[in-house]
Amino acid sequence: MGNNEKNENKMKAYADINYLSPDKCEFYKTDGGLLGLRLGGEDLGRVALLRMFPLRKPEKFISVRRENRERSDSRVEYGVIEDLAAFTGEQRALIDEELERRYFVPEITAVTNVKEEYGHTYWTVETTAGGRSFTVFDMNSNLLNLGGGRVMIVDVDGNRYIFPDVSKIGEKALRLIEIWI
Amino acid sequence: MPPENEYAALKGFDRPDEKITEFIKKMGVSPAEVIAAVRSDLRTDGSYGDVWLFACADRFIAADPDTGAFSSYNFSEWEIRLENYLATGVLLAVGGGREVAAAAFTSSCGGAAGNICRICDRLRSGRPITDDDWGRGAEDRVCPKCGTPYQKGRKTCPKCQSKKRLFLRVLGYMPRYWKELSLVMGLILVNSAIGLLRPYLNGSTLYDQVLAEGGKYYGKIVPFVLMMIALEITTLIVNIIQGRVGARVSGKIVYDVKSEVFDALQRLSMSFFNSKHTGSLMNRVNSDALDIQYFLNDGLPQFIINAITIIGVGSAVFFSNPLLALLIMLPVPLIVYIIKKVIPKFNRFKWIGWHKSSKLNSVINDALQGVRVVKAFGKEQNEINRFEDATQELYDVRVREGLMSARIFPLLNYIMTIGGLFVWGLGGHQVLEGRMTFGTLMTFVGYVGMLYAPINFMIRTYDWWANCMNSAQRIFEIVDRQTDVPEAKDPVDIGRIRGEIELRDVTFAYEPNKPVLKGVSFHVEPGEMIGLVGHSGAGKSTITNIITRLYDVNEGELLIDGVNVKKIRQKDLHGQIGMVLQETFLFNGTIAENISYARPDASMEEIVRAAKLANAHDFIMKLPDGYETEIGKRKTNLSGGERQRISIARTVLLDPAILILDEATASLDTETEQQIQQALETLTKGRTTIAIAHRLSTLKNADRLVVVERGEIAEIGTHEELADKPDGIYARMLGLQREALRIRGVGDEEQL
Repeated sequence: MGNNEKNENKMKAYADINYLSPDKCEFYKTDGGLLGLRLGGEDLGRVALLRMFPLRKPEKFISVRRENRERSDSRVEYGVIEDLAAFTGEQRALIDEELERRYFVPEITAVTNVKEEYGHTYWTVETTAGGRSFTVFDMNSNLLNLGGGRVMIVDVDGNRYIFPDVSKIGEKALRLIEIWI
Repeated sequence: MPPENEYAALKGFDRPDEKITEFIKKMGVSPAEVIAAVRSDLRTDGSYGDVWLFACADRFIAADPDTGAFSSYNFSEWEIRLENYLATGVLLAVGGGREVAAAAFTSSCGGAAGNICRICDRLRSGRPITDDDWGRGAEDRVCPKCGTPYQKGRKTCPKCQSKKRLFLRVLGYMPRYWKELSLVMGLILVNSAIGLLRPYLNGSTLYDQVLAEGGKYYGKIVPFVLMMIALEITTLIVNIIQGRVGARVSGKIVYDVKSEVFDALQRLSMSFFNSKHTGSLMNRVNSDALDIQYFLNDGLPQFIINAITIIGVGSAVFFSNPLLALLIMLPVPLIVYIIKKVIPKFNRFKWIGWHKSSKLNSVINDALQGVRVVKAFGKEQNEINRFEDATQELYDVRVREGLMSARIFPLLNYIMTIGGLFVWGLGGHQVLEGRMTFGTLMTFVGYVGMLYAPINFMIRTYDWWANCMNSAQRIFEIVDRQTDVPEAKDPVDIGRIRGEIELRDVTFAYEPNKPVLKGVSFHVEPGEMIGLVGHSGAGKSTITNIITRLYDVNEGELLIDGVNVKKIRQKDLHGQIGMVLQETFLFNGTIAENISYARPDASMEEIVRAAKLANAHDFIMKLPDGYETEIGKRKTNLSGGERQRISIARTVLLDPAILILDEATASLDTETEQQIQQALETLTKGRTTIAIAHRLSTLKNADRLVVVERGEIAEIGTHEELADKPDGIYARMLGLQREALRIRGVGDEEQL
């Protein structure tokens, strides 16, 4: 095999996306309760799921990556789940659990109180993960309009929260953020 | 709070409350066992909750009194590791081939989780826990006073900062100019007095005394007009003097504020600049200083003038005709309402408009700066569309703003006019009945006109005051900020550095819990040249940042000539370390000024010699203005290689004991690189040199190579030792680069 050809093959392997279909992979819970994967019969141990487009297409293009420290594997990315919809039942539940843990972004269900002072906004909210108080500074760089009424804000610690429908958050809260939307 | 002595061994972080104490006792843990405790804010199932994490001598415990969850991990079996996700993380218990998510936290508790994890690591491995390990709880971002989370790096949260103290501190800029300011104050008083007098003279005096038969000054029109002219001239002069003095004082105050901020900025360490946008910093220095200027120069005097006017006019009208005075006040509530309720809405449109116009500007900027890309991809139409969209948005807001303004301001005017008409109506009646003179009526009408503007101002005073306090707060935040690379209290006199460098078990992280260097140790002899090799992001540049003390190590020590770098005076250190980076920065000024940047006292001969050593002399001589060529002016386009050689000359002139070369030749073509390589060779002679390069051929002169991999030292040795090491990282990198050259048809083994 010539050098060039070898190189081309290498490039191809580099650029190719290895899509994982439900029939090839079997996700399971590791002993410690984390996510493991058997791929085509091979047990890979613990794996990580990373979203390629976490903000606007959270259900598409999930990268399945090596996370098992004991495993010396030249593969970093085992493959890609093109669309989560292909996975159902228990398999889907396992995937969702892992993604949920890694991408913890609670949705704000109600704004209990919000106040602005000196460029800081202080929020007390109810979220899908429970009640929470947080502070946002510099709304300009910490608010992201995801489209379709979904708006994400990031607090001073880097925690993220999503308004699923920004038109329903109440007039006072809306007034504080509408400029940036 | 549980009694203190219950937690006899507790040394750090958070003090457990009664609830959790009861709970762990119930689970069979004695509080006396606990060495470290922190409160986390997230459960492993992804719901918020107070979960307590404990480190005891022999185990790690996670306990949640609300759900009753309790787990314990013995150090003989488990190791506690930290894993960071997007905005959360988990503490993993790892042992016996298993990994268990023992606890979770959001980034708000990231520091706390890191703390407990570190203590667990020390306890498990038997390494001593240092004061440093305990001291790091201080990085909390919750206000110590009220518990509200707030922006990192401030002393207290903005909520708790005393506004009175802030205000007094702003006023603190003024006493330096008390003479000028008291003059301004006096002039303001004169002005206000004349202002109050004018309607009286134009009204009562003119109509009742000068024009009316039997008046005191009946018929003396010429003297009256002359007096009015004199009055106007006085006002004019007073205004001019006030403006001139005021402009001078406020200029000085802004100068004071800005230089104070700039001084502070220069003092602060690199980490501050990495966490802030340079743009927003400049904005702060400029616009915030301006806000303070407005406040001191315009706001405060305006406030005084308006207060005097309201009080003066108010008492004048009430004492002369209470009934009419009431009439004047009639529309005031309505005006207050409009200003309070409607104006903020109007201002919001202005805000949105401002925001949209800056968006439009950035579209224009993109298209112009990226014009080569736009044209190359043939995307002109796209850019036009983007521009049109942004313009449309701006247009929409401006129209709404315009429509609103077209409604409010005529309305306000109308209401004020109505007030005047009331006065005319009732006053006219009283004049006809002879209960009031025509002059008094005219005086009243004049006063009515004077009243509304100050009211408008006073109502908006608070917003304006808050604005200024906000700016002041941001400015003082920078001024007060402590550098995290502090100067030693009694520094060691290091003299001329020999150039011995030693890193002892250095761990460093730019952000908490994300170490970039982990336990790095190596020793460099004086005069030795070390090549740092490794993949991008391995931590090579971080090592040089540590050596130059742009940052301080988190753990371990950095010794220069056997002295801890923290004990060396920063001036002594930085004056003897030279850096040549991939990105050269040349200041505005002549080439000679740039070369002598580090030593402005250098003679012409020294500058020329440095340029010659740096291989720069010849190209400089080709420029018409030679060493006096202005950089950045008149189309002086220096190439990357030329700029690099100037920056090398700058370093040559500094004659540093330690030299850092960070990818100094990476962005240059091969020929230029050779020229620069020559220049660097003269420079490195006899100096301790740390060189980073991706092109391994550039390191061929290095005495030893240090291979960095994921923040750790993977290999150390000479080129020959490492190149022959089977499975070595360096050997592999060398092989890859050779192969790459072969594929490209270069095939020049000499390159490597």
